[in-house]
Amino acid sequence: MKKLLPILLIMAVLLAACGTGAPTVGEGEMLVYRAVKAEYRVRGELVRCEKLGLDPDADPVQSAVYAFSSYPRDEETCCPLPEGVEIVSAERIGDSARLTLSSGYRGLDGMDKTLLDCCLTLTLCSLSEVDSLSIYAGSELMEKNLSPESIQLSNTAVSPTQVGVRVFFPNVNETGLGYEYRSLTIPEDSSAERLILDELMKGPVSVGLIPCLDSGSMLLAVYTIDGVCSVSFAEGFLADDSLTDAQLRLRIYSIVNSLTALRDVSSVQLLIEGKSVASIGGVDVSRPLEAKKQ
Amino acid sequence: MKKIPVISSIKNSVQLKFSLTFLALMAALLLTLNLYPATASRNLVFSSKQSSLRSQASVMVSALATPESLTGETVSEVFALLDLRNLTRAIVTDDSARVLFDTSEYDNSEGRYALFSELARALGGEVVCYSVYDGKAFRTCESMPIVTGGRTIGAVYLYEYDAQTASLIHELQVNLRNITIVIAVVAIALIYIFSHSLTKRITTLADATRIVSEGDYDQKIEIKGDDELSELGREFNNLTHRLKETEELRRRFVSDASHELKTPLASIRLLSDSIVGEDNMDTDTMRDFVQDIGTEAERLQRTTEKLLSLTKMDSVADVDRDRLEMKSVVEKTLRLLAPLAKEYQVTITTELKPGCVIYGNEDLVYRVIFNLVENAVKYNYPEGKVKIKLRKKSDWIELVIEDTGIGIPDEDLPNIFSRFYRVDKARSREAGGSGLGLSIVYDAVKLHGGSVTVEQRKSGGTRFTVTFPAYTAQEELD
Repeated sequence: MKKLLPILLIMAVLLAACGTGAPTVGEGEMLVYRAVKAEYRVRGELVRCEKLGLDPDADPVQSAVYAFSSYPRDEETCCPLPEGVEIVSAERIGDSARLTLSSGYRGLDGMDKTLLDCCLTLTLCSLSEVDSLSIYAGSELMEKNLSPESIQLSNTAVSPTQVGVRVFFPNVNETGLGYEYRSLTIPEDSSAERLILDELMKGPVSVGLIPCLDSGSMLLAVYTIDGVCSVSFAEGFLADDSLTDAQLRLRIYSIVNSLTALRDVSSVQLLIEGKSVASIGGVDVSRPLEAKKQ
Repeated sequence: MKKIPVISSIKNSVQLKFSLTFLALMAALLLTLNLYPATASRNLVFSSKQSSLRSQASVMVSALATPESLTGETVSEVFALLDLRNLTRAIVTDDSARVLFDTSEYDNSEGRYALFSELARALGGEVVCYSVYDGKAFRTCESMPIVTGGRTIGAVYLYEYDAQTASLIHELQVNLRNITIVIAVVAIALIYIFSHSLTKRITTLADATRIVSEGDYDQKIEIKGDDELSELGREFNNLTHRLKETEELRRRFVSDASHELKTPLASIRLLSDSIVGEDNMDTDTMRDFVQDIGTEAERLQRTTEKLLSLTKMDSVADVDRDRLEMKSVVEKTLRLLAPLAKEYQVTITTELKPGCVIYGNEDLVYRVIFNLVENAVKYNYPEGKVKIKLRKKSDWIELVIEDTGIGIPDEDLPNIFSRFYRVDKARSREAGGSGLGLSIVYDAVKLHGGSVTVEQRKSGGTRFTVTFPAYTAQEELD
């Protein structure tokens, strides 16, 4: 399963942080993340990325590990691998990368470990072939299923009304979900839920994601009561017969995951013309749905 | 490159310099007025915000610094008791920067790693605090480690977005800017009017000076107001008035001098022509003519000597001085005039007090006394009297010379010290006068810092009163 989407989020967030524009990653490219040296940690960013080309003849995971361990071009950053900790091996198993680090990794804790884990995760997940990462120290599993989704790179709550929200879309291969950060200004007469649904309807801007709602989908109402966000669409919502159950499921969870990213929303009740329906794409939508991890 | 005269004139104009100076001062003042209050207010807000967030963070850290490990639940319980309304976001992490609690409604990061520099620094034991103003809002951040038993178990990250205070500051800036614009416009107008008015008066003065320098001493400036330029204008008018008087005096002097020199020269020419033209002139007549030529030559000599003397006094600011006992000088002078007095049958009496000492030039003082006494004798009646009194009055030495002579008509009194001025020209010439004696007296007395006055005596005759500053030892030292 391929997921380059979270990278796009990071790009968007780092856009301001890196100050060099969005690091868009294309085919045969990867992003290598490194820690900002302590003396340069003034405010904001803690990691920075460098875009590198991949050797088409080499294994991308091996190439990423090699690039990660190399000396950074940006003198204000450093490789987060502490002394005594080495990457012993790296392999890809399905959509996941498995890294085995030397035993020194076991002694790591606190911020040093977090920085290493996050930089490795962000770097390896910038590969189109990798969605998540597991880290071993020897044969012992230390970290499992690390993904960019578990990392927040900066404070997205700029102001009470201008906020950063994650909007989920199916990836191009329709094997999973990816997300984009959208900076929204919430007017007094609207709600974050409605704005998120508007963003979902607008579709993604990233090349690795596809729209989840077709142009025929019309939002009738959205309101949240006791953590349950009820979303009512007009007839014709996800009525495209050409969509498979898996595709429909991805579209439903694009909506559910996007809305449940809000603090006050724990589940989403989907309605058609204000009425609940039994199921869509094999998903029981007669009851509120909670977010699903990838 | 050749300078364009108009541009050069503008560049060098006082008005431009005045205007630029005032404008520079005004600009500096307005800049200060604009920048200082806004900067000071911002700094005050920064300080207040940082202090406020630090206090909040300290309270949170104190509440969370318990021996038990931090969990989302424990943090939520603590935060439920706190007032977080001013905060845009509050995050609490464990020691690995994993978010345990997040107040963000839209992008809740609980369970995720927060890779913020502020948190990393706080987990390193540092207290991070800063406040920035971006023109729209104050963004203040405080990050503080949670330490228990000497171990950092997590960190608190507080973020406040304050647009309300920023709006007040912005409003203040806008008001200041508007005030500045109004003041600037008024100031520019006033500066223009003021500098134009000022330089116009200076230009008028310069134009008038130019006209006067070309010889027109009738030029006057209209005086308005009572400031320094008005004072300058008044002085200018006085100056032109004095210049005019001086010029008139000079012309008259040249004319009189020419006349005085021409008269004896004409007599000499006439007499010599008579001698040359008369073939059969007898010896006695010729001798008389030659004697007359000699007399006229003597008069010429006296006149030129006096002119030289006056010129000398005109050209020097000071003369050599000594301590002079006036009694002695008067007596010495009277001895020289005794034959003249005898010739004119005039009796000279004196009343000279000793101890009348001045600091002066003996030659000039002698000339003063000689001229006054000589006049008193010459313009007297036979059996007339001249009385000379010398005394000390306070810090002054007073010399009074009065006679019982023919006197001076009142209308002539103001002019008798003018050069070549004669009351009775015929009689004066007859007496050998040149019209310069009293001028020499006047100039010599002035040169000594004294004064000379003249008045009619009630019983007939004239009284001259001369005063000199009395001698002081300090004078000699100076």
